Amino acid sequence: MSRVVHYINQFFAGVGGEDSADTPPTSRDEPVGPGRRLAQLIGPEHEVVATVFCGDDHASGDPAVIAEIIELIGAHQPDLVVAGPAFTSGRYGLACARVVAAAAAAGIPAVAAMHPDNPGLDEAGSAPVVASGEVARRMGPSLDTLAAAVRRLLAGEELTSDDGRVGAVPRRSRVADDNAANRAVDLVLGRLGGDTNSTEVPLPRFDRVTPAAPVDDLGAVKLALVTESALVPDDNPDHLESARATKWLRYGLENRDTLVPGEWRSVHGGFSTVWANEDPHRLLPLDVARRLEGDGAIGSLYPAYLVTAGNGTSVGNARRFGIEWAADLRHSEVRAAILTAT
Amino acid sequence: MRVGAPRIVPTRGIPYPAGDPSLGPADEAAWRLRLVQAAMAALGTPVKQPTVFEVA
Repeated sequence: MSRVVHYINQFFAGVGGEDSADTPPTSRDEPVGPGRRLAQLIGPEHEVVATVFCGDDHASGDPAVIAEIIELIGAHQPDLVVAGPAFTSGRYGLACARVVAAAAAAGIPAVAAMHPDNPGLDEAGSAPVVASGEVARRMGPSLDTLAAAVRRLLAGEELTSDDGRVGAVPRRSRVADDNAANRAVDLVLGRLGGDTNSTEVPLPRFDRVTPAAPVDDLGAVKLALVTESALVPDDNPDHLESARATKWLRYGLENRDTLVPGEWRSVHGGFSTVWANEDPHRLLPLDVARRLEGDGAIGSLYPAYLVTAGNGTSVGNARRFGIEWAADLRHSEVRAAILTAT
Repeated sequence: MRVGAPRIVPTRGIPYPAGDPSLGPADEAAWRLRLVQAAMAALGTPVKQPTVFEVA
């Protein structure tokens, strides 16, 4: 009988939602929440012997908490650690990824499940991650995929993209058929022959964005200021993340000609915010934009700005923010935008 | 350029894309105005690929 320990968050453990996000790591000697279904799916030859759960804020904040979680998990002497499914939930995904990475580093086989766009995905290290649906409504099929992966791993097999594996696949040494010089020359000859796809080093892909047509009448259109500099009201009321942002926010600029220092703050975790906090216009040029609006050089200024934190943001989330910003601005009849980038 | 932004105005530092703390307040405001004017000129210019617009 193989022993499986399941990691989930406070929500799926039935403890509570945001109000319980500080729940400390806790262990129970039985399957809990989605673990009950998982236990059925992995069959009688494997057992979910325990569930370890932790609040999202607690688990995704201090890295020392992950060590506590691993200690609780290790006490059950598992043959495999399973985390999630975390869907697109950022903090939960991050926690699941860190738990399986730490388990794998400690020599315990582990697998997590989350949506390929989950910003935590990259933190799973050498531990495998299989795809889940986007939201908890997809729990059923997500558990099917996860359970199949669990059975394969416990049978000593490796996971491939056929099993729904996503994220980075660790490099493994193998003996090639030919030496590097011959393979390189073959690739060059192939390229000269028109093969532009073959490579031994696939690169990350960015979208190719078709530039928008120019705006030749700025004095007659609405212009928006947007930024990824994480400039927010001083108390960061909506808890914008300093890195790996999972959201963007809109803050009003109605009746404001300037940004008063002390009322605004950058929570960006990727640069020193001292200069920005001294004068928020260094991130969002509202003062001169208002002046140009007054002069008639800008038709009108959109009465709010859109903001996120561009710091280690997953390509999936960045793509989503771009799509949502474009839709939002278009809906508000904005024809041009200036994005200040840090 | 690498991530493919179509119209780019270079600035003087990552922590202050719309400013320059080494300048006095009046000079910094003037620099910011030129930056935004350069961005507006960029918005009015047709481009086919990522293009850098230097501040005049």
